[in-house]
Formats: sequence, C-alpha cells, structure tokens
Amino acid sequence: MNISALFKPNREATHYPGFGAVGILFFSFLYFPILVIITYSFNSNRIVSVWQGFSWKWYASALQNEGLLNALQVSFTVALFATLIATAIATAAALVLSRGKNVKHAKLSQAVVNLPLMLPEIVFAVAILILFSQLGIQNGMLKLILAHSAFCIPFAFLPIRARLQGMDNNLEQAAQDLYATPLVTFRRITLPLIAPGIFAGAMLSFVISMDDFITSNIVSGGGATTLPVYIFSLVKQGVSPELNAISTLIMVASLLIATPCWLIAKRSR
Amino acid sequence: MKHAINIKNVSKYYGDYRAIKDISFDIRDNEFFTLLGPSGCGKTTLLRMIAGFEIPSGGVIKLHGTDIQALPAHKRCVNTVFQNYALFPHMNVAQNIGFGLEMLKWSEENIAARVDEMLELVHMRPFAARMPAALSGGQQQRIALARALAPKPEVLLLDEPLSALDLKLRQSMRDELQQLQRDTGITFIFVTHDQEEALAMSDRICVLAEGEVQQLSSPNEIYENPINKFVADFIGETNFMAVTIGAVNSATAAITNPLGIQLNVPNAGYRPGQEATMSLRPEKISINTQGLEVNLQGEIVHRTYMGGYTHYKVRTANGIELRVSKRNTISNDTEYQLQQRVDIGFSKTSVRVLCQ
Amino acid sequence: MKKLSLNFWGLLPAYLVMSLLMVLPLLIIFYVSFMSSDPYGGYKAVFSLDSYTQILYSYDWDENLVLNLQYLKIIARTLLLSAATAIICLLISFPVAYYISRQSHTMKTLLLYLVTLPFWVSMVVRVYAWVLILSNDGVLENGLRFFGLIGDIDSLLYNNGAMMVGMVYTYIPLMILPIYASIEKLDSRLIEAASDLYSSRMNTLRRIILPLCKPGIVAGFVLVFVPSLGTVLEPMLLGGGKTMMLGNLIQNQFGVARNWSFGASLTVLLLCIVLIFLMFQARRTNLNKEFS
Repeated sequence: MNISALFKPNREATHYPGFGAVGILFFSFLYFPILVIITYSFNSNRIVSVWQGFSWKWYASALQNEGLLNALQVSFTVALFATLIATAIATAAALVLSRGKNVKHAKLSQAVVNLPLMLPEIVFAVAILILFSQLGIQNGMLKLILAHSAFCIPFAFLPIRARLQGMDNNLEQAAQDLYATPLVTFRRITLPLIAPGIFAGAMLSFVISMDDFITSNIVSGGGATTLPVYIFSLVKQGVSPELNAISTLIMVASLLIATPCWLIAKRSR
Repeated sequence: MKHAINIKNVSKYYGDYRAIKDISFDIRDNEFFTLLGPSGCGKTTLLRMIAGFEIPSGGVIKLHGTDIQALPAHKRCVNTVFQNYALFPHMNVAQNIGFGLEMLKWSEENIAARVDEMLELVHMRPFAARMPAALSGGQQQRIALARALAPKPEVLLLDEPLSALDLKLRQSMRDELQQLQRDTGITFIFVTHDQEEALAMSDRICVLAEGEVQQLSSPNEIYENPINKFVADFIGETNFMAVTIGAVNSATAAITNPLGIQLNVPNAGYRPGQEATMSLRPEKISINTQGLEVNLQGEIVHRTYMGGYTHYKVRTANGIELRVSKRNTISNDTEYQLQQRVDIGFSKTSVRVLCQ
Repeated sequence: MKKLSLNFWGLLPAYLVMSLLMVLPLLIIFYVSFMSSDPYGGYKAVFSLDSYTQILYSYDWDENLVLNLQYLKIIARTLLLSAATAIICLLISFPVAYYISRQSHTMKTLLLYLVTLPFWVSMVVRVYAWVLILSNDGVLENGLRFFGLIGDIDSLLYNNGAMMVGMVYTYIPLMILPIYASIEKLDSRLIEAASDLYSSRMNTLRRIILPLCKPGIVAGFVLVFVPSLGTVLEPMLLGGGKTMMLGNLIQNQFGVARNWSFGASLTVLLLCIVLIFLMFQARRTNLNKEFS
C-alpha cells in the first residue's frame, strides 16, 4: 500500500475516491481492540487503564490459573473429538455429493448437511438442551462433544466440498483409464488431492468448536466448563490485567493455528 | 487536413517497464485506421489511453485539435467496442444500446428512436428485448457496435472485436465493419494482431512492436514495401536471406546474395560492406514460367496443399530453400511432385533489401 | 435383500446426526411450546397456548389478561438492532471489499487474511476487547478526555450503541467476504464500458456495479442479519444485561426463569422470523437469477 498514491488524483474509471480511506479506517477498527488487549496485558498496574510499566507477571499468573487450565483441557478434548467426528461425516457426505453417481435428493442432502448454518445458534442450543434433558444425559463432556459435532459438520463440509468441486473430474477418469480400480483411484488420486480440503475443514471445525460460546454456555454444566465459558465468567467479574494476558495468549494460539491453515489453503488452490 | 487524433510524444511506463516509447503520429478524419502488432506491442495500451482508461506517463493526445488529457473517460466523445463486448449482463439489448444516450441525458423519445435506428443498422431489430446472455457471439458483437455507435462518437475505438468469433463469422464481420465505417463516416481505430484483418479493412495501418511505431502506411505499401525486417516478417510470409552490400554508386547498389544472382537495387543510402536482409515473397516466385529476369534450378522438397494455393519448398542448386506459393488457377492443374526438378524464376523488382 | 449403494452409506451418518441432533430437538421445541409451563421448572404435558399469549399479554393481580409490551419491546429491539447492524456492515463492507479487489495480488491475499484473521480469535475475547475500550475509565474515555473532547460522562458501555458496535465488529467479516467475491467476479471492463458511455462514477456504481454485486450483497446481508437475530453475548457484556435481546430472553427462560414452554414459544417465534426473512430473500434472489 503506497500511502502517497492515496493522495494522487486517479482518473481511472474503476477507481473510487474515498474507498481507500474507508478501507484504512476499517482495518484500524478491526485491529485496534486487539492491540489494546495486547498492550494492556503487559501493564504491571492492577488497575488496567492506568499504565505503570512493562511486566510479564500477568502471563505468569495466567499460566498458573487452575480454572483456566481445566477449561482449556475440556475445550481441547471436546474440540478434538468433535473435529474427528464432524470431519469424518463431512468427508463422506462431500464425496457422495460431488462424486457419487445418480445421487437422489442431492439438493435436500446438501441443505441437511448445512442445516446448522441456517439457524441462529441460540435456537440450536436450547433445542439440544431440551433433547439432552429429555434423554437424561448428564455427562457434561458427552453433551458438549455431541452438540459440537453436529454444528461443526457444515464447517468441515464446505472446504472439502469446495476442494472436490475445484478438482478436475478427468483426473479420476484418467486414473481409471490407466487401469486403476475405483478403490485404488480413491486412495492414490482423490484422497491425496482433497487432503488439503480435509485439513482445512478439520482445522476450521476445531477452531469453531474451541471458540464456541453460545451452545457451550447453555449445554455445559456437569463439571465441564469450556474455555470461552470460563473467560466469559471472568469478564463478568470485570476487566483485569490477567484477563488481558489470557486473551492475548488465546489470540496468539489462534494466530498459530490460522496462519498455516491459510497458507495451505492458498497454496493448494 | 484536419486530424481526428494527434498523438505527440506519448509514452507509458508500468514501473520500470516501458509499454509505449515516445510515439507520435496522426489519425485522419473519417479513416479506417488500424493499430497492428503482436501481443504486448502496446497497441491496446495506446487505444486505452485514447479512450481515457489509462493515463499517459508523458506526451499529449488531441481529439480534433483539443487536448483531452484532463478529461476522464466519461467525458470523451470517443466510444469503445470491447474485446469481449462488455455488454451489461443485467440490461437487455435496447437498454444496453440506450445506456450512453441516457447518460448524455437524451430525452426518452430520442433514445427510443436512436436505439431503433441502431438496431436497424446492425440488423438486430427483433432482438431488442433479449438479454445479452441469450445472444450468440456474433449477435453480441453487433450489439456492442450499436451501443458504441449510438452516441455518435467522434472516434470509434475497436479493441480486437473480432478475435472471439469463429473464422466464417469473422470474415463476414470484416465486410460489415468496413461498410459501417463508410456509412457512418466515423473515424475507426481498430486494434488487432491479425495481419489479414488489418490488410483487408484498413485505409492506413500502423505497425507497432515493443512500444514503437515500425511503419505507418497504406496496406499495399506495408505489404509491398516493408520498412524493416520486423514488418516484412510480421505481415505476410516471406523468404529472408542474409546479404551484403557490394559496389555502390549514386543510383544503385549491388547486392551480394546467397542465390548467386546479379542483383542491383536502387541505392537507399547503403554503404559498401553493410550487412542487410533480402526479402522475397513466396507468391512472387513462379515455377516453370518463361520470360522472367532471374531463373534458377531447384528441387521440390516439401509440398503443402491448401486448396486455393499450394505451398512448395524448393531447394536451389546452392542449397538455399525457398518458399514458393502457387495459385491453383486451373482445376487438375499440374501438381509438382516431391523431388521433382523445376525451374523457378522471379522479377528483380520483387526483391526488397532491408537494413534493420 | 437389495444391496444399498455407496451413496446411501456415505450420506447416512450426516442424516443420522442431523436428524437426531438438529431436527428432533427442533420438533421437541415445537411440541414444548404448546405445553403449559410448570411453576417448578420444565413443562407440563398439558396442551396450552399460554406460552404464546404470554408474548403479548400478562396476568395482572386479578388474573386478567393485560397487554404487556415488555417482550414486544425486546423483539422490536432485536429486529431493529439486527437490521441496523447489517446495514452498517454493508455500508462499511462495500467500499472495503471494492478497495481490496483493486489491489495487487499479494496485497489482496494479505488484506483478505487480515479480514478473516479475527474470525479465528475467540468471539468472547473479541467482545471483551470492547468492554476494555468502552468501560468506565477505559481506553476510549481516557483518550477522549485526554484530548479535552469530553468532560465527565456516563459510561460508554451498557447501551444499544455499545451493543451495536460489538455486533458490527463480530459479524462484519461475514459481510465483506461474499461482497468481495461478487466484486472479483465483476468484469472491470463493464465499469470501463459504462464510463466510456458517458456514465459518471456515481452513476456507474448505481447502475452497473451495485446491481451486478447484488447476489454478494444479499448473501452478506443474510449472513450478518440471521446470526444477529440470535445474538446473546454482546447484550450480556456490552448491554449490561438490562438491554436484552431475543436471544437473551430465550436463554433466560431455559436458565434462571425455568419456563421452558415460554422459552420454546419464543424460540419458535425467532425461527419464524428467520424463515420469513430467508423466504423473502430467496424470492428476491430468484428474481435476480432471471438476469443471468
């Protein structure tokens, strides 16, 4: 982005003056809050808004916070299981819907898989809460894994499906033309080629599950508190420097997951 | 003569890359002017600068004597027919044609009348209510033409408009375009990389390469008297031979050539010992014909039958392979066979000596 | 027995999960919404429309039905705030998406990465950032005071404005991405052609660019508006619990209030709002399809 170019009059028909300024304001709006959290997480003062000096101490206390570590463990376990279940189901569905022959009700099936995307999450959350109470499921962990698996399916499905659609159908036909059986074709051609899509889908479900608040907040209980729910309870108690440090840690972790995913998705395109 | 467009010292840089290098020429009023060159020669950039989509890095462009540098595209009285037509997909044919008039704030009755007139002009009246997606390539082409002509531009710019059409359609559109230009009397600036198209339609052709004007002349002049090796090679087919300038006097220069023939050409400022290239078009060489200035013996080494023509490759006694093309004027004409020995001949005036 | 195809087995798990964990619960919600409430929590299996009348009416001391606008206000606020959020997102997103589409390839990749990155950051953390900024003696208040722009003020937090800032912040990437996709698909020669035909920039925007980007704009609107209707977090953290939205009201019925049938009827209401909106949009998109 050349700053001086922003002020040079541009007469090209496709150029709209002012859009660049909106863009810069938007990105400031998007990243200013994040920078605020990171900055204040290093403030040694217990009163968050008054800067006293640089310190790592809130990170030290965050990492010793037992409630936080417990919540992290719960979230991680739930996300891991939900991702495995959702990705497996989504992969099978995506393969059938884009490679299957004479699939009946393909449109309906597509809608069914994407159902969670069409509802506000709170609807799903209370509905599944009632279901669990009707079935008498008490185990918090089990409830979380089941609920997360369900709403993660479309997030795993979409990247895999996109990958399959972007893939040349002829490749599989070429393999079969070269005497590969359908099973060998799948293992040697289809699977390696859609692997980046499966990976992207899995990572997306993992992050969606780790981040979920609305459903987890309603469904959890029975001793299983997820990370976002735990952080929420901290936020309810008020702004604190330790919370800033925790938030920063979570953002760094997200960045570490998001960046390689982004790169893989980019390169595989 | 009044000029439709003056281009003076125009250049265009993209970073360090010089797309247009200090070009100057004029385009006359009411002429069919073609910018011809290979892809990347700067012809489309030049057209886009006239249209106002790109701004020259230096130089002046004038439209009928007025400097148009300060005018954005939507205030210039020039219209463009785009390569892929750029018809607005959400508007029907009539709305597309009327769009420019609407922007110029014509009254509704006048727009309707003009749209009708334009549809008539391009023989598309029954299609007024169609959406562009429901038209064939040739029909879209006509609508794009009608849309660009509707506002009565001073100059019409055509950016490779025929390149997306198939061969037959392309040939018939050539005639139509030429007719349209004569009927409307509007200056046409036509961009193409197809030399045949350029020769067929243009009043004058400007051959561009690497951002520079190579030659600007009538089609006949460009084909018969190319100014340099690039032009001779780019337009039509030819036989090139490396030659050296021999003895020179004020009127003529002797050319030492690999065919081993006596050859004198008018002296165009040659220096003795200068390296040059000799060009001889395949259709200027005849096979087994009497009464030509230069006669050589050779053997047919390759033959390609093209229907109306047959292209031969003939190897002469001193090992030079010449391309010769022969019109098949009589059916069941004698076809020369491979390895057949033949006499070939040509007139010395057919030879061109090019220094660059 | 007829051999079932690979297609069947491939789709079976998805159908099973979706029908057991999505469709069945929704049917139960629908059923519960027509049951009467149980003062001890949950519901009683007795048919009653009370939970629906309760949305508009309540019983006074003498057990008479009186109009009660308390919940209607919450519903109206939900609709208004969601619509406002979607419109603000649209107004910001279109120029931003257009700006991104005009950049070089590397710059585009980088900017799109920057747009999607906040998505990967926990929503609670992102909303918390605004608590930090807007709270009493928070970053914004101190900043404004430092420049002498404000004196003593009430908190910037705990009002509709704060909630909306949070909602726009949360949902705006969902608006930018589909709009960006539709702008990328737009042939820039169409813009040039319009300008060649004497159309000013504003005219080209109105007559060519916006109509052709409509699918992206509609998609973005749906993607922002629908989740906004079910917003829970922003009202709790930025609205301070006093300014509730429909999502909070529903959540409360299943939590503190323990009035399942009322909660269920509110959920059915929310679902109906979403369905009506989606049907309306689908019809408009179908109309658009006739163009292409």
